[in-house]
Amino acid sequence: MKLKQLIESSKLQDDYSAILDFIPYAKFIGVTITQDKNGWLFTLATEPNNIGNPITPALHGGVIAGFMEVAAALGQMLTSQHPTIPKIINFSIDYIRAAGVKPTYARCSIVRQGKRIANITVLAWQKDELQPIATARAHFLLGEEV
Amino acid sequence: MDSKELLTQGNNFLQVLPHCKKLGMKVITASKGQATIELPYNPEILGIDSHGYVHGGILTTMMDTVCGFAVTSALPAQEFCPTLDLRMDHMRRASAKGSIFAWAQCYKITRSICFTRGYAYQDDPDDPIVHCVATFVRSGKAWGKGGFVKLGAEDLLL
Repeated sequence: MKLKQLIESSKLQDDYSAILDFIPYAKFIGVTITQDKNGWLFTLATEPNNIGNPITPALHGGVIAGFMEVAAALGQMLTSQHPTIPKIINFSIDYIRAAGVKPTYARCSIVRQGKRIANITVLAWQKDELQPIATARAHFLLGEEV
Repeated sequence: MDSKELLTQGNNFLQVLPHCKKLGMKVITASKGQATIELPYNPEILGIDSHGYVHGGILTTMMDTVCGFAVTSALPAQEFCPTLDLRMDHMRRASAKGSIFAWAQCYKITRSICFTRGYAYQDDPDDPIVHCVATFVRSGKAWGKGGFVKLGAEDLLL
């Protein structure tokens, strides 16, 4: 199935598992996609294997970054008129608060979507969206339609 | 601590970090302020199933881990140093053919901050997959029984 059709049918059914099935890493860390009144919401499940620091305990910083990169790529794909699989150019993350072992959420904003390059920012939080645990910025190279 | 002790310490360290253990990461070289880790191939870490490339998030996880260990190996005493920020530049994709290696160096330590840089590669260190810079914050505290304990002033005079 073409990517555009896959995205359209997922939106119709409000079930994005078919998209996530194509992304082994997203399943590996436990990402899910939903929509609420503010737009796309990405959730990282509480998964003991995502722990980086067992003493505090806290999620691995790399998992938070990976989750936010997945969210940025999916956010770009889901909102694009001509979806392609975005290829990461660079990714920058600022860690703001310790991330406990609890559900983590992310929302992204498409700052600029050009013909070839997209600039996406991502905010991640746990208890309160106004108290983020991390912010990130990603540049993606946009390829051919699949 | 000599390189052999650092290598043992590094591998013990990765064994107690659940995510690193799950990924099967191993420290393969270690010296004061520098380290290399190896990540074996695993189909669960691919970005897009049919493309056969490892997801960027895995490379970020490797770089955060190896930069963090480079910091640990450079400090005079065990000290908890969370990541402040990290930037990844992707030169090309990592193929799903065998191990990925990540090297990092802690090139400057101040009283508050540790500065690191590194890269990841597969076959050739001169043809890296990603470059990374990351900074870590010194907490002035070490792991202790039941939590963190304050380090003495002499440990922090860098």
